[in-house]
Amino acid sequence: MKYYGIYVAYPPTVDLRAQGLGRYLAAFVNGAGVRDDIRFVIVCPSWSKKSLREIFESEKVPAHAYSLLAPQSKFYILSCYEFFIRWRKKTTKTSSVRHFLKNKIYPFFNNVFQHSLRYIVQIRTPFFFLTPQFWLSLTILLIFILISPVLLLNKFVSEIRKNRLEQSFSKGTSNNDQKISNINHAQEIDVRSIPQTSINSSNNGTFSKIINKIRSIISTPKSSSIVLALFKQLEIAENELMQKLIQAQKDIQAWYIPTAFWPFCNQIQAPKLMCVPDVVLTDFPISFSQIGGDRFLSNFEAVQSSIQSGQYFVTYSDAVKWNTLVDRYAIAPEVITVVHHAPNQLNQHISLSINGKPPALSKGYSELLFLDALRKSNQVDYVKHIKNKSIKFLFYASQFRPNKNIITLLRAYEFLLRKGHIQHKLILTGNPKLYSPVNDYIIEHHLQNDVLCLSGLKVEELAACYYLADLAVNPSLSEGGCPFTFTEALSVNTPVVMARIPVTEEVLTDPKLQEMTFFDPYDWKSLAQRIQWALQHQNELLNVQQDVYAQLCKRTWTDVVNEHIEVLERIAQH
Amino acid sequence: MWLLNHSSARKFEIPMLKKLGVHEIFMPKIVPDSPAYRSASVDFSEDAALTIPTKDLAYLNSINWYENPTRDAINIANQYFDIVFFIVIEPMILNLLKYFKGTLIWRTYGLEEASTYNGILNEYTNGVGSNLLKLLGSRFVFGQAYKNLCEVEPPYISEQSIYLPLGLPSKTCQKEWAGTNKTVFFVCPDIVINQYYNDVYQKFISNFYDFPYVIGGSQSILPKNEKNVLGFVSLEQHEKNMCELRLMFYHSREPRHLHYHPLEAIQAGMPLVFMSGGILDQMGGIGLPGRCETISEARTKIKRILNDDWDFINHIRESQSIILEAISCSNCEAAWVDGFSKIVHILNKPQQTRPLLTMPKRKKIAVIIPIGYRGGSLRGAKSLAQVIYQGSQQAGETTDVILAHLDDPALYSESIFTDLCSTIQRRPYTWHTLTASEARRAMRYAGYDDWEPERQQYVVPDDQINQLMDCDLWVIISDRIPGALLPIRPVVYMVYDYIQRYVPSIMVNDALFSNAVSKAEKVLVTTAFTQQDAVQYAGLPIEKVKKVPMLAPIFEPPPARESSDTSTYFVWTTNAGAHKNHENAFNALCIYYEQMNGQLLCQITGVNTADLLKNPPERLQDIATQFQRTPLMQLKICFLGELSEMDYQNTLSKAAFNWHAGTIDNGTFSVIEAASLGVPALSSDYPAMREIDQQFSLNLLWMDQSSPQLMAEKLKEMELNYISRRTFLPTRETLLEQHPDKLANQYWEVIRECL
Repeated sequence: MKYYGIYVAYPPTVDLRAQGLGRYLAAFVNGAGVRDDIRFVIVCPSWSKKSLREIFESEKVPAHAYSLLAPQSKFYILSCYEFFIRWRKKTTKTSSVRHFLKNKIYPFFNNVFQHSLRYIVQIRTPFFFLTPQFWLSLTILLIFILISPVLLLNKFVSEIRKNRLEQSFSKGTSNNDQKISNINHAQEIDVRSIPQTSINSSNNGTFSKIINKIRSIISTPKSSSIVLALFKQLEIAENELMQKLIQAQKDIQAWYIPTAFWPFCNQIQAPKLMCVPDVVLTDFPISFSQIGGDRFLSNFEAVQSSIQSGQYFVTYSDAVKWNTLVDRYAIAPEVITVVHHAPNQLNQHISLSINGKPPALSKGYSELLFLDALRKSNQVDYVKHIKNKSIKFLFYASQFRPNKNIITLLRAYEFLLRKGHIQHKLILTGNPKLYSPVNDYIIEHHLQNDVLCLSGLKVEELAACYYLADLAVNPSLSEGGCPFTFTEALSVNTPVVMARIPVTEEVLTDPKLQEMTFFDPYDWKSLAQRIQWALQHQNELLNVQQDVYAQLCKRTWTDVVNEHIEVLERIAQH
Repeated sequence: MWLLNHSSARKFEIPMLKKLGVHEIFMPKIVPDSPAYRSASVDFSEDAALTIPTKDLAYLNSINWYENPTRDAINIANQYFDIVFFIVIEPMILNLLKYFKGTLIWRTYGLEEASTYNGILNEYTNGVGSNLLKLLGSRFVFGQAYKNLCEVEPPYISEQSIYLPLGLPSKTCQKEWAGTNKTVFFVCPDIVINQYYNDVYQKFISNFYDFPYVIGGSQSILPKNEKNVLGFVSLEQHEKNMCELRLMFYHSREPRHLHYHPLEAIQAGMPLVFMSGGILDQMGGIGLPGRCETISEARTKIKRILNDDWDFINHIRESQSIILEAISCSNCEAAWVDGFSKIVHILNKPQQTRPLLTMPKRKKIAVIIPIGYRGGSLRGAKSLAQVIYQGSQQAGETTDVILAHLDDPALYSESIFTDLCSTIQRRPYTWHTLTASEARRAMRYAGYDDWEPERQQYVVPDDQINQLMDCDLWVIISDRIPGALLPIRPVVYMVYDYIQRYVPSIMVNDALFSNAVSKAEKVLVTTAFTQQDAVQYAGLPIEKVKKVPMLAPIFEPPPARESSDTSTYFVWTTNAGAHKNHENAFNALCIYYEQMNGQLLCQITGVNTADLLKNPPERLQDIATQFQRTPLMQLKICFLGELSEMDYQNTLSKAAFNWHAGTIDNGTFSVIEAASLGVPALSSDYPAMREIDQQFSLNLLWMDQSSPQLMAEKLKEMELNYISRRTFLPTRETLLEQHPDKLANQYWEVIRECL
């Protein structure tokens, strides 16, 4: 039996179920599940253990394929923080919880606390510790001390809220009745819904600034530098414990680090293989400079630091190996291995077995899923009137990020719609409210009812969208590996057009397919022409692409894992 | 290639390289005339051993490697040389980093304590240097003369450091030190012009003024009233000084820099009194009798030496040789062998074959129109884009060219680009403003780790794809950008004129524009006149300003017409600009029609000219009033406004002549356009127009644009002679010699240097 380690070091509060990497890890360990000679030991922070277990269970990773190690217990302050976040989420939904806490729990605790305190101060015998009352009181007191930060925080929030409304009210009454009526209305509104500026305008003193600061921490904790600094300290402390765990694992021959976001991994003394999917910020520096502020910069510097002190690397493409790791970070090419992805198939999610027949793609089921998916559109009022299940559309499944080149797609689409009269809608899966260039373009060009953004799709809905689309489009300028769009679309018999970028050319090498499929992603006219051609030659395109897809399907995720294990074995011998 | 020229270093390092098996060494033959190169000299002695073709050697020898190391020279070097030793001088380092394919050894001998090589590199290269250096990977070596130089440098330098110690060449002077002259020898170069050494000198004087002393070291300017400063001395005199002067005092406490002269003194046998804390301590100086913690201690020791305390003198002389041990040939050789073997190992390491798809793609250049230019400026931008593309093609280095213009469909409709070559991609953009912190982040992400914003805001062209980051070079038409451009891509500016220098009423943001061009890779100009303005007014270094030929459209000739065909009008091509001399021109027209009985109509065309006198600017109020009151003027003058390309050519081709009445600018192409249509021209007389006349052999008729009377007389002369002046026009063949296609290579030669 050979043991290999996997190092996971997500910061606190990250839910791995929401992370692509979490699912990737599950697939990775799952791929090793068929081998009897390999076992993975995963070392993670105490705060990630639960969600890792959950995702592994949901992805049906066999227990014998791995063991999970983490420091014994979470930091108390983190538990308090998590409790606070959970409480905040609940109170956002309903105020009854706050009411319950204030009117029931708090008085109850207060009574018990007073009672216990009374008992302790009344002790007169030196053998007091033998009495059960003493232990009960002491336990209650300790519990009270432990949860006191949360209670204090709750009290503090209430005070801020009260203070702000009082100030607003006093200001309002000095103006006119209309203001008063507004303020009365405002009293019904949660404190978090009041714009920052309205508070700033009425609070200029140092105390107000402090209050505002605390308020911003409470409303968006992860954007707060204080919370981030706190997390940083927690990570440092947790890493020390993790390193001790790692040092104790003498059987582990090499470690796999699934991302470059965790620079502490380089403290591991054994051979290490770091996966660098990409460093996309380096290729889109200006756009990313306007997203995520200095938090992104800090993460970016962590990635750079990891890479610069890394030992062995794996990437999903030659493009990232050479153009990023070798050219940008001067990593020696011989320490980098390229392991391409296996296809991502979606057909199983919309294939039904009817009357004992083998499962087949179901159009009816897909249409139902699609109508459900439509309800997730940003244009709620518009889509609720759509009854046509066979609506024609182009589809691009992706979050909205600067490298995704959405505006070029929108330019091409607008041209095709208004000059080429193609009739199709364009369905995207990002949230435009989180990425203003797309939102602005759609509004400025009055495309709200034709470009529909369906964010938060379930995998079945995603499969249905792919299946029902006339054409899948991927205009992305940069990816870590060949985009999954190709295999996801072809798995449900939908043709694809894609940007001609190195990672795609690397995998889709057939010249005929390239000629039919690729367009210049820097030229919206090229994209428009390709879409137009593809819509007119759907079957011809599909036939050529299906042949290539069949070839790609010969590679499985077990192959991917085996290739990683080969590298781990190789570096373990160095 | 040993691109240093340092006289003392050469005496040790060239023989050492030969010992290591390097038999062919090239050294530069041109050293800039600057005090910064006071320790440099030229040596031809290694040329004989070079086996490279004589022609190539002659070319390499003709290059000023410090100030203008051309890409061609480096390409030749790539054919014959594996390793280059270099120092940080701005043009040298940038071009070497960009174009040299072998191993680059940054030879470093240390800096004063407050400085780092990383800081100097980024100061010289606006932050670009470190980025380029990182890309070299193992091809970059920080060749440090002292082991501690890398300690204060960032990882990208320190991790690439290899110790190649400073060595002292063997002693050349055979005379023994005698110390007969009871004088302190203190070496301090360039006292007058170098503030650092001036401070050192002042400190020395204030501490040791009461001792007999002489000051050695080269002096570009000799200080006045200081008879003890030796200035330049012959080798014989220098050797005599080293033998006769009683002692040398060495002041430096710098932990990472050491001068040669204290070592030279020890080698000569001269007692050295030196201050503690410097590199001499690291070389075994701690505990030596010549070492001093304080100036007071130094004074005491100097006094003993000057007072013939020979026991003390001999004690110093005997003990100080330990310092030479550290840099003895044998000690240094071991370190050089070790360091060089690492370098050779890197050189010989088998390289993984890079997949074709990951090879650097074809270069891409963006030609950016920064404001809403139309008319001639837009035509110029299109021509520039096309010649860059053609030039790259003709040179076998095909490059993609993007023409970027403001995203304003009203200004730039599809139809006005129908004449644009189909190989040039067009891309609309808007200027986007970044805050200082956004700019900083963008630069960090792009790899400029040390760049810090100097302004509150920066601008970038936003094409809503990737802000033109897919282009390797930005060529900007004019310097009229709306803010400080983020220096994230190399930029070339095409500057047509500095008209504000001559027409002060034209207000421009000189500070902003000058700052922009000062950061450019190159500034292109099309006339010698503007070249002088760029140097004299914008203050650019002359080597940065490149004159390229004018790119004028050569129109297809109209259907053949009789040479005696007459016309009823002439065309005045102008625009609404203040420098177009409208006041004098209208006054001249008034004289021409009212006093000289001018017969030809005047047809005015150009951007924003249709309402020139209907809604006149303040400067034309009087002219407009006069125009309204003069029926004859209204009858004779016709405002055509901005014409389509076809209408413009049609109108111009049937004109008697073309009139250019502007005051001063970079010249107008209308006279060339007219010539290509067989129409002569009357032009204002100023330098740029003279240059146009010469380049295109136009034989223009000149007029003095400052005098309406003289202008009117010339108009009349043209009216009478325009038919005969057609015979002075250049032939079509002559004009086609100046066709943009023929000039493309000249543009490409400049542009490719910036890629």
